[in-house]
Amino acid sequence: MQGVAVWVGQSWSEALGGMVLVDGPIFICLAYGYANFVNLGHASLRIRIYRELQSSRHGILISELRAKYDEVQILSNRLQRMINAGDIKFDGAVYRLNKLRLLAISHAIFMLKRVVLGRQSEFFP
Amino acid sequence: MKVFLVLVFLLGLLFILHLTWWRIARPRRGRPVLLGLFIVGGVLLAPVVGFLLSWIGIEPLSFIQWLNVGLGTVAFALAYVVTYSALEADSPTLSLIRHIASSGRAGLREAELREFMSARPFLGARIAALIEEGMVQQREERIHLADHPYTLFRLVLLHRDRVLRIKCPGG
Repeated sequence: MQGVAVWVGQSWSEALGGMVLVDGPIFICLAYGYANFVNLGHASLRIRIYRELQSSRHGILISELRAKYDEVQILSNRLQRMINAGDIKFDGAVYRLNKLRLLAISHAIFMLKRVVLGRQSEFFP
Repeated sequence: MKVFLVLVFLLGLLFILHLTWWRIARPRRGRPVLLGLFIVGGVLLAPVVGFLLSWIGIEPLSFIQWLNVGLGTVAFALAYVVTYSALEADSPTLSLIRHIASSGRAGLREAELREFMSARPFLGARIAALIEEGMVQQREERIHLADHPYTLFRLVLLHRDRVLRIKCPGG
């Protein structure tokens, strides 16, 4: 974008400022959006349910879904994923935090929830 | 610098509009309404922002610079709408990591984590959300896809299968 702006008469210094202050953040926003789009396909429960429904002509019994995706299953999937990524450690008895990365993200998300929705959890308003 | 100022001002105004609207009456289908607010609101508010900034002595933006502002608004809107999904619905992963972190060096046993998860019916909440948003329909004890296809989810699945070629089930 800054290249086009220079071509139509903007100064180089303004263009450099534009790259840092505007184009850089735009790139980061688009990259962040794409990364989350990819993550939806990996980890989203809603997508998984939607996929099951897509491949079922007569719908699915709610009890069937509950049996397939109960909280134990969700817990097990998530814990394994976090162990593989090094976010938590399991010493055979207990799970402990290993890296701060996900914790920092969760603090940011929970703070934003408070600001935007006025609550920290959909289960405990 | 002008483009940066206009973008910050415009996005700030749109965010204030968003918060005010959500405090008064949160829309049922948050994500599409939010995207519409940022894009349509951005187009409508841009001349107002341009006028206000010229009033305080900042030179008007050129067409290319306004395009840059438009691109910035759309990029931010997309990033925020994606983040909003994580605000509406609790993430099991982020909820778990906070709970594990709160235990400090003592850590948590699997039984304690199961108790934590059983107090949070994620699946039930997801099904209820899908029904409320009109993506699925409940008929007696069965749920079915709604008659109209949900484009975003179809895109995600298409991307997962054809571009990323992921075989494992996920979730």
